[in-house]
Amino acid sequence: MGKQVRVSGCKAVAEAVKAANVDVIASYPIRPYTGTMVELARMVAEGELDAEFVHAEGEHAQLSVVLGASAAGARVFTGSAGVGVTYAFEVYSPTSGEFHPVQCMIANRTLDPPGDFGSEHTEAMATRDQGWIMGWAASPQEAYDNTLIYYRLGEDPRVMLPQFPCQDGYFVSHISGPVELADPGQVKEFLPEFRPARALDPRRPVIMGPQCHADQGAAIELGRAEAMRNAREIIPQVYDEFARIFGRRYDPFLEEYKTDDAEVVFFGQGAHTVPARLAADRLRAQGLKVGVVQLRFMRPFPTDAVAERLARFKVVGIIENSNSFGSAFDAGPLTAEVHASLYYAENRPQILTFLAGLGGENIRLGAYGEMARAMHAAAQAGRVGDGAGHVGEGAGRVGGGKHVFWLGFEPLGDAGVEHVAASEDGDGGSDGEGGGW
Amino acid sequence: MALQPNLIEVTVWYRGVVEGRLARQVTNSLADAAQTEGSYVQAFDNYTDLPDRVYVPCRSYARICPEPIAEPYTYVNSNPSLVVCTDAALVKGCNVLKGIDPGGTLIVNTRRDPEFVLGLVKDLPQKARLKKVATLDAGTAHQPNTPQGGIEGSTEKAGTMRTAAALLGAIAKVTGMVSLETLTKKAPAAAEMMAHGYAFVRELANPDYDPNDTASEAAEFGRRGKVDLIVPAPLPNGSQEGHITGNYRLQRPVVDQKICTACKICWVSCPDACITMVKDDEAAAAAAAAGEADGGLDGGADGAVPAAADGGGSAATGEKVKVNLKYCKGCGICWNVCPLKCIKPVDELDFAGGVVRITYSI
Ligand code: SF4
Ligand code: SF4
Repeated sequence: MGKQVRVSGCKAVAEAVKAANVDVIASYPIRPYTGTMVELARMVAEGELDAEFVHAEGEHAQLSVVLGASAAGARVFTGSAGVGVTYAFEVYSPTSGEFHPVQCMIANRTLDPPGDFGSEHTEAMATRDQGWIMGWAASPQEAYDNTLIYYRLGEDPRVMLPQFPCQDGYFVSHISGPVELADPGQVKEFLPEFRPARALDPRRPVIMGPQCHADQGAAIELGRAEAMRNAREIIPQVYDEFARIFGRRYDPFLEEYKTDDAEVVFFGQGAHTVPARLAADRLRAQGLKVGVVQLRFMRPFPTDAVAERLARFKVVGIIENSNSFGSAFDAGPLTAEVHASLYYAENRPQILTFLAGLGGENIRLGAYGEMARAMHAAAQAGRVGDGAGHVGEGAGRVGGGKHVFWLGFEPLGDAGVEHVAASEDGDGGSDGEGGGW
Repeated sequence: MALQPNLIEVTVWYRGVVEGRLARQVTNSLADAAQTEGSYVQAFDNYTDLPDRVYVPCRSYARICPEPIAEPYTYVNSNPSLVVCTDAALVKGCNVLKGIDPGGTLIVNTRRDPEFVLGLVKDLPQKARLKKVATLDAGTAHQPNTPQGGIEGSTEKAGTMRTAAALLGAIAKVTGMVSLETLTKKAPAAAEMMAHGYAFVRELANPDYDPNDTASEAAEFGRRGKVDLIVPAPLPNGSQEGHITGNYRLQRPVVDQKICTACKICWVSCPDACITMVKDDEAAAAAAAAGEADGGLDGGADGAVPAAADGGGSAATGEKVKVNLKYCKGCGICWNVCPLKCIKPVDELDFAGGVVRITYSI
């Protein structure tokens, strides 16, 4: 069993990078991920970690440096946040397309505007279609574990894909929490040395990333698609291995909290699922059967797990922490993917979306209460499959169709609440401002 | 507060860059000790203060609770029951009592007495919630040190604790939220300084304390309107009301106008354009308007010695140096560049209550 420390998400990742014995690191500062690089620079300077530390002239260069180093067979690490992530965008597709299992942490920060330091998933979500493995940590411990898990997954010969381990800026990156550091022996067992089948080597010259012809394009894309599918296949095995070696068992795709008898669940990824759990406890004390489902991977998206496991609830309330302007339902990418995954399910839950925490805004406990009451009210009207609402009837939704809400800007009462309140008034707490419960 | 009545919040005010480590030593050690004593804890830094700017007032937080903390991911402590300031000028320059829990405590690192500190908070709207004020001379910590990964969400390697240890001892004595024994056990090397703080902290009850003063809190979750990103800009040479920097200042430049030759070297050197050259009569008028020797934030006199019409070279040009104290950071550049050494740094605290306690040696 490893050493217990109390560290921030930034520092936790630095510790994991050290444990993974990374060979090449490329840095460039941007809040809020900078702390990881500060810590890694110190480790390298003080001889704790034997790695090349390259300070790049920008994010595009950062990603290019680690792409090249990975091609030469090095285990590499880099990271960014906010507009830094988008500045490097050009390099993401070649990294996955040429199968370099680069790891680039993201500590989320809003894009401009608002460009404040706050966490919002939008910048990371913008890269979700670039062939990178992507998911969120909800705590420093998860951030630590994800770095190890992602290297293992990405470097698997059946996968060989780059990875974005994400963590909410500030909430995870800057607030310290308990972390159990791994023993070197454990890491060695879980994460073997990186030995790619093909690496740049002057003794055996190869060309990587050549100019392609149109008739090669589809085949190249299929290769990436298959690698991502393989990743989805082997994720459960990787988590089994992780649990066996480190003693921490995560659900590989969907972490569930108090869902056994839940009628309604919050669905989200990353930091906001932590206060959602604490809110669920309080709401349960008031008689609302609330649970929480935390999504582990945005890419590969666990379509089957989402379809099978969300179908049993009456209402799923998505905490949507990023924007996709003009997308399906005018919500965000999470909303579109959850709807798509549930399309073939026989008994579909109602899905409400709460655009929340944008700009890094703190979602207060009272707000979870308000969301839960809206979900509960919708639940009283039943599930989509119960005949409570069908396509063609107010766009298939109970209460006339509105099911996407900007938290704090729109009353949540439209989610079938009036409809229900007339017939049944049993939700136990009607403190609309959510402050007093 | 209403959400979790048993939650104890501790806010430590400190000076950016130079005291970041000190503040984190206090909050981390408090949280550690409380955890050892069986509480759920957190320690974190404010995310929107600007801790990479020298002397900027910043905050570090600890939270202690007998049950799991219900809102672990929050930016600030809304209702601290203990506020600690690493120097008394912070009390003068910031509303350190904002949101303080009724019955709360203020501990200040200063050689001055608790009565003096009470004087500094007398204009603060929530001062009736303050039950106790305590002071301790824990030494100055605001000498430069090398931040080691401590900035930006990481944590540094443990350094030796001096000022922090003394403050922790004082906290144990005044609030009892953790015991001196636990603190000492966690950091045996700092035991002596902790005992010093415990023994020498001076306490004073706030005579204006009113346990029933529970002025209403801002609504925690309200509906909002839209924000327009195109806003009227201040004049290019105007002041930025949203970013007043005068409370960075520990020492204030005071000009001996009798000696000043109006050479304008300070005027051209001030990095914040806080110095203006004004005509004698303008200066006198501004001083009269400000109405007190302390001068208010950008009052005319600003500690300038009352105009001496017959004195020194400035009479030749009829100009005087005027410092805008709303923005002067006390960086010391002006008093270092003045060829005649006629600008002197004076402790900001010496200007409390409009009293200018200064004598010139030249
Ligand atoms: S102390 Fe610094 S900021 Fe203040 S007037 Fe002098 S040079 Fe300007
Ligand atoms: S205060 Fe000193 S530097 Fe400034 S104008 Fe007067 S003589 Fe020159």
